[in-house]
Amino acid sequence: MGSIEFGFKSIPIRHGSKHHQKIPKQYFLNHSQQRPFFFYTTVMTSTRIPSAHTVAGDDDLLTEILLCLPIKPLVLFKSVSKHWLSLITNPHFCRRRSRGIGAPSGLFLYRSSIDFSLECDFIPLEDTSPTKPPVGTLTFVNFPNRRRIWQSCNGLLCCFTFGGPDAKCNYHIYNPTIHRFTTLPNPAGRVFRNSRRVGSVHAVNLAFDPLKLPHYKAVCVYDSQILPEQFEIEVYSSETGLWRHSADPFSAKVNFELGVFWNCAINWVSYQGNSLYFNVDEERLGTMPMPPLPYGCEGRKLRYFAESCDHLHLIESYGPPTTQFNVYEMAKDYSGWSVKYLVDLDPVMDAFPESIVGLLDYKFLIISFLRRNSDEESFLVLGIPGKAIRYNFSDKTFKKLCDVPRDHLNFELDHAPNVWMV
Amino acid sequence: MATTTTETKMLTLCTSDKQQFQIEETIALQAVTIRNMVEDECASNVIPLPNVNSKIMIQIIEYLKKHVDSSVSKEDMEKFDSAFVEKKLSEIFDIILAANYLNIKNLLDICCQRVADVMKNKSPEWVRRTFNIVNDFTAEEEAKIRKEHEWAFEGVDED
Repeated sequence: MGSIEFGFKSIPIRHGSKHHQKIPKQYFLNHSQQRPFFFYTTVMTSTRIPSAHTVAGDDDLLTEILLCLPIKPLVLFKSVSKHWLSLITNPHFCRRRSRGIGAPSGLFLYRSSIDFSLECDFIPLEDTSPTKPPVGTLTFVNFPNRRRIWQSCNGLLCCFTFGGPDAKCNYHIYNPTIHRFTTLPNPAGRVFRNSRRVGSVHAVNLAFDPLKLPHYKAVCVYDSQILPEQFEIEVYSSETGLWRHSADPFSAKVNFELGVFWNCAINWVSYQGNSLYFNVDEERLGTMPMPPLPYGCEGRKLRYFAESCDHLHLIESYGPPTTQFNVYEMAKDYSGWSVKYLVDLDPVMDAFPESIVGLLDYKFLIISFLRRNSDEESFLVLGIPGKAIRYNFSDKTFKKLCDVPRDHLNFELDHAPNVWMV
Repeated sequence: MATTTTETKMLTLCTSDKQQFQIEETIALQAVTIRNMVEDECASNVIPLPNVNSKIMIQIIEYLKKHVDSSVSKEDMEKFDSAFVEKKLSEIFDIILAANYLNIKNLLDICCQRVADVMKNKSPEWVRRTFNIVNDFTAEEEAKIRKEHEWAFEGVDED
């Protein structure tokens, strides 16, 4: 989980804070007079280490140590002193830390349950991963309404709450690491609704890249009020706190709910014809081709569409059920999809016969495709009844990662429910 | 080459407590600060290291001797490193200061990681005491931070 305080109002860095540690004696004495007890304990029963004080007085060294800490103690140590708080919340520090985080160590699988709680299953990815999630429970304080996670994007979640006594619908950007959320204001003249009506909002997608900017943008697609069966886009910026109209009416046959942030754009996949992207930086729409349909096949089923390691991936199935599929990768210039891997899950199905239905059907969901810096280390996370499986591309080996209660995976869906990474 | 004997070039390091250490140049040059001094020829045979005492120097030489040996496997080196940092925290901080001064990046990294590993389950009070840091938050400010990050305060070691 890369972000610490990105996208939220962070405490501004204090200029000249480097010298903040050098507290004048006078200050120290005054402080001790206000808090005699505290002063007594630090001096008399101290286990203090003189060289530790010297290390802590050097911002470069202290930063190196803080960068080695997991997120939880790092957040905890914001309360050590004002100087530590300013170091930990400084955007440069946040950027350095998220760069060092590297690959996620676990996944949260959002249950496709009907109770609309924010219950998630945690799937550890490596043997060394913790078996318990590193963040606390996912709860919105003061939100009795029903809710669902819409999208995850580099450590932030876009959530939707609806229902409740006032039947209000709202989108919230939630940072689970620090348990903070902001509720997006309504775009001018529009109300978020939970029903398909003229002028409905189709989706709010999140664009957030902590390596580039500490701010996020939210892209809202809604029915055009001017032209029937056309859409318009407004973009919210966390920097300004305002919505801005940014795309004139356009038509598209895509699923706006499955937007994926990649290549500075929200990408939407189509079931027929070309797919679509909206470059958030340039506020520009573009088309993205789809892989050709195999000979004799008429329809495509989306099995997976997501980003990993700065690559956009797509998995589809066509025609009768099969254990074979291609993992496609999109070119940076949107010129086309290329086959990254050819996969045959037949050995997995054999090893876990509970995933075989009848003679010719299979129950498996592609939960995640995790790309790593070296191709040998890339792998798939699959959901089969009762289990999450890791499938390695390099040697085609697989193993169970953890149990997942059967009713938490909905095999009626072609594609897995939302997944977010830590 | 005309010479038949391959003489190992030695350097003498002089610590803050005026102890002299004779070590092979290849070992000593892993410390960027020493390398720069040798390259700039601003050092005679004896290199003064006024910021490092002999007790710490012995440990740093032990580390450098191991790391200059290219026959050691990656796995064994990791084992050595993890055993090396099994020291009292006060010594680790001394080594951090010395490694920072001598500019030995790997050593600095493993020692910072060691400090972080010790700190990660400790309370802010422990941190303040160990680093001798004054809590300059008002009670209200501290309570506010605690409230905002309540989850991080769960399961912290008792002091």
